[in-house]
Amino acid sequence: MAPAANNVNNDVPEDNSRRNFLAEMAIIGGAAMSISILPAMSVANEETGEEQKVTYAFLVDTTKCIGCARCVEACVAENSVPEGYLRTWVERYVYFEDGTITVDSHPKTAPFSFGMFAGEHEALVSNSFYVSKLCNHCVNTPCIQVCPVNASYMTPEGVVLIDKKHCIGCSYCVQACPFNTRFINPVTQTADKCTWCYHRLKKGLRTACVTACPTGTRIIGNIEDPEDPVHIAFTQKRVDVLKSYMGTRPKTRYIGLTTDVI
Amino acid sequence: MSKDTRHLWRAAFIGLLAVCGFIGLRTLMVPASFGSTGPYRAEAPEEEAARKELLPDQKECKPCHEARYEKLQGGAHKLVHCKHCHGTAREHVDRCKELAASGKEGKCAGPESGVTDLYKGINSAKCDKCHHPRVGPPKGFPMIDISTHPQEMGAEPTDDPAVCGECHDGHDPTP
Repeated sequence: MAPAANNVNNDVPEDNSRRNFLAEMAIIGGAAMSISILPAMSVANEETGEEQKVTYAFLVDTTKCIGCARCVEACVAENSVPEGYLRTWVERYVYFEDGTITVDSHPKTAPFSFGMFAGEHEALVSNSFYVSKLCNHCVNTPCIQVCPVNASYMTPEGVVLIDKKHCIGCSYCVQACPFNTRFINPVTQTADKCTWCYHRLKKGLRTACVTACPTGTRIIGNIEDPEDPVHIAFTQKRVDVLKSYMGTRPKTRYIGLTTDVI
Repeated sequence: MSKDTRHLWRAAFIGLLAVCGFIGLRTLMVPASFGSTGPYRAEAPEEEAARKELLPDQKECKPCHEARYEKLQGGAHKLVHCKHCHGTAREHVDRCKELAASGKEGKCAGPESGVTDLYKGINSAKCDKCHHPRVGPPKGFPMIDISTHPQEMGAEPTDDPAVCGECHDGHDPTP
């Protein structure tokens, strides 16, 4: 869009209004586009350095996960998630020597413990690992786009939240989310999902699941800060996102995924 | 008003009513602060952020339990949150802070304190939550079958929930 700005000439006579009009439109369009492609806005004032730019991002290192589901337990307790529903969960991918793969998860009710095997198989297990799932807090959010009353929104820190006083419970967003992270809360009758424990982040605490994780599988951090472990991982390690083909640009990224993980 | 234009005025009147109705309804239904900080009700993030947190951060335990905290940091359980064995302890932490702030005498743990979400001592059921045998954890993670492990190590068969504590210290569980 930069070349369009060069076309502006203040000396153009007034009767040349169509050219002026087109040039102005190009500038406005360019500005609008450059704003829309930016990731989450910041509340920062960089010059003073007093307030640092904050855009939260989440890292799941699946190579460390032991599948204890303590994160799930902490999330349910922290957020009073109704029984039978989960804001975050853990999946187990098991590869067998005969080439088959099974995927299972822990029960949706406490104590969320994984059993010994994923299904019944004659063949020996050749590989197995756990993958934590939670809201991806995408940059291009399908859930916000489809909300007919703008009850789904993104905070200046890039956290996708639901305005529960405004939500009408139509569940369009539940269907729109490619990661199945949303549900209709039977108590509030509104959409519900992982908030990255926004109420904790704003107090300087880490999310409940990150706090409870005994292996350091889950980390939350600020990707604007070059010293932050999440920023370092995002820029120096081989991180991947779930369903990249959906084009939602998730801010939750993973280490150690295989192509079978969806 | 001539007879020939009456139908046009009627249509215009209905159109005006529809526009006014739309604007009126919209004003009623759209929250007042909508759009001032973005395409959402401006108070919504603050309301969400104002929610009371439940799980205390590990660092909140440190000032009073420094020795245990340091011991934990030196062992294999360094990332294991106190709450996994000792309960959420929200009431405990709040009570301790309240007592410290007011300068009053009182207890923040034990039956007289009124704190109900704090547990002491080792409980094998809590060890089992992470260490039960299963397919999936990365290589090197110790998985223990508590129904056979104590006997294998030469202990008497027992139903005592503190059985793990006979050999292991939860704060530094090196075998």
